[in-house]
Amino acid sequence: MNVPGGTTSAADRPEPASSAAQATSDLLTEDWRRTLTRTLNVSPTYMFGVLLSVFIAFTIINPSAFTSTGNLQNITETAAPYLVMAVAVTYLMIAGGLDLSVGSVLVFANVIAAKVMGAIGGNGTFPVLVGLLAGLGVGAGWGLFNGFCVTKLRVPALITTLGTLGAVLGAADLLTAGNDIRSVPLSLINFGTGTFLGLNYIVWIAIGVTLVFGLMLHLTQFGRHTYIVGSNIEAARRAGVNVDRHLFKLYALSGAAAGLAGFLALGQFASTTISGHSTDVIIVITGVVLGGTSLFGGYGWMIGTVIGILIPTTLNIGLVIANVQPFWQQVATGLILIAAVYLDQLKRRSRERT
Amino acid sequence: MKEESRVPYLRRPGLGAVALAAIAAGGIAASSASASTHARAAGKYSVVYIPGLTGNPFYSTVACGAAVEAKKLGVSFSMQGAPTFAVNAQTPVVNAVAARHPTAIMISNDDPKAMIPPLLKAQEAGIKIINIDGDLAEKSIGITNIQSNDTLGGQEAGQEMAKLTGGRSGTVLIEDNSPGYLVSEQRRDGLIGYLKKHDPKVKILPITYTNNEVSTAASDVRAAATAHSDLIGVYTVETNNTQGALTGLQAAHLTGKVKLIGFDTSSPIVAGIRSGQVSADIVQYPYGEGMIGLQDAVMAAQGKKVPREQSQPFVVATKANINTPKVQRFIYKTSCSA
Repeated sequence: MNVPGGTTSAADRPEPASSAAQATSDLLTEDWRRTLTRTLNVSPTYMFGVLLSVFIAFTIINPSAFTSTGNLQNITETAAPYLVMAVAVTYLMIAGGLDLSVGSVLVFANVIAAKVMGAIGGNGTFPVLVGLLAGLGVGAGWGLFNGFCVTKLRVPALITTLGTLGAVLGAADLLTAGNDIRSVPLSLINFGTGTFLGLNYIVWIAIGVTLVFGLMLHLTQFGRHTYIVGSNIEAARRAGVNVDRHLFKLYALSGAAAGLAGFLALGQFASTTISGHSTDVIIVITGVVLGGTSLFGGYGWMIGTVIGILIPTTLNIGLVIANVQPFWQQVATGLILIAAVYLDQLKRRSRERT
Repeated sequence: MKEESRVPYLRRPGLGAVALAAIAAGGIAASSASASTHARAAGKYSVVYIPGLTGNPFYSTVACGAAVEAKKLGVSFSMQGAPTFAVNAQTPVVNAVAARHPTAIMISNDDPKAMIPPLLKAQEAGIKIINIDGDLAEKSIGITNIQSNDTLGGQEAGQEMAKLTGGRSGTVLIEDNSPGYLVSEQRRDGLIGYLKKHDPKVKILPITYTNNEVSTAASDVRAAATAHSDLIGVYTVETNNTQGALTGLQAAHLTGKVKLIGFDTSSPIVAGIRSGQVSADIVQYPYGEGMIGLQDAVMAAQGKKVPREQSQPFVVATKANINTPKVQRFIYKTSCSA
């Protein structure tokens, strides 16, 4: 098995003491060569090629509109909340878990944060901070509930999160009778529509979250444990990883990320968006899988997720700019997903043969 | 003053997104040159219609009316939209369409307030905004709103329902898409208000929400008929509920016993009206709204004034009048030969 980053280095690092200096340098070049071929061989690299082609194609079709600042802001702002959720779902899927409830948890946190901020009132920073904490808190709360059902009650993740997908949205509807809430402080709206270096603040937050959790995934013990749990849960247990506790944390992370996305959406739209997130989970999982994360766990890259989220978003917006009939957007995104996973399978097969 | 306080957060200066483009495109030098003159270079007007969601007969008929009129006037016309009825789905579409800088955007807004920022941005860029079947809360955005009065439509439905129940006592079921939409609420409250006043013997059951699913609408009707043997009427708001209630009543062999009053049309609903299975159906005039919207776009582009509010009529379609030209003109088109 070709497991990226963490697991291999964790397992086969103890070098025999006899190895001479020359052998070490050979190993280094060998190591470097292997790293290069591996990099060229992974999904993120392929998918970056796809993203690049999509980008070039639309630039040729309508250069002035597609590469305009406004359009690049549109693409990044649309992708940002999905990216925040996809970062956490990447962890979960690498660990062999799944969370279908992210869109519903987003809406729930969306509603709670708006209600809390409305109850405090005012347009300052204080209600916004409390709203943020409330959003993160209820998100993590639903995540912990998912984690509890999966690890303690042994209900499969697919079923648990399918259940919460419906239940959490229903709870949000109960709280609001389905009516969107507009008690969003002006300071948050200003933040949600403001820019720094040409990019929306929300985009910067998404970039920050991705960087922090990407580095954590590939460089820390927490990240390595995530890979081990996903590759071989039994081996992880025997190696002394507290699998249940680790999964618990990942579900909480997924919930909190959805909570954050829900809070950010308030700034973006100056209102809750109760009915607008029923397909979020499809977009998020499509992005994660496009990015090369295995559906069966144990394999995945954070940079892949970034590219995987950007491809459908760029495609959808690009097709509008290219003035293609809107239904083609859904067709194109679906077909690209299948093609990407097929490519991945081909690669895996050839890797196993060599 | 009030205006000023709103402006700062709506303006997005933005320079360095270009830098991101450079990263994303692997070093393509992205020029943020003005996108404006592109569409009008041909000396021709271009109009884009953004529906509330794609694949809906009402919105498709608006597009159809606009497309036919566009062909007549030599305007280039297209439709762009998202598959879900939600601001976070509609906003990126508006932004992407605005990037192409058409002469005018005709839009059926998914939210009266949340759609303000992207449309204000488009209007500031010089694009004429024409609201169709759903105005914004801020009337300074958009040159017009072309819409039917939904409360009135609901009252007409109430009138029909009262005629059908004829003073008998019984229960009436209302099927709605999902909570929180002004248009549906007005249609609903129009009927409820009328019945309360003129037909107090009728008891209205708690509203059911079908999430725009035909199958849910069908099963909810059957469930209500099972639970309430005195069910005498069903009122459905919007296409899919009407269609679902129609099949639900057929399957439960209740057609005729339970009267159905629908809203909007589709092929099955028209067939239902013809056979009398739909007792009455409230029909808007989306084709005309599309036509007028496109004419307004051209007028505004030529600097002519357009009235800010343009109310459109309803027609009540029944078995008796469905084949008359007056009603036929209102029936929504499923295919458009423009």
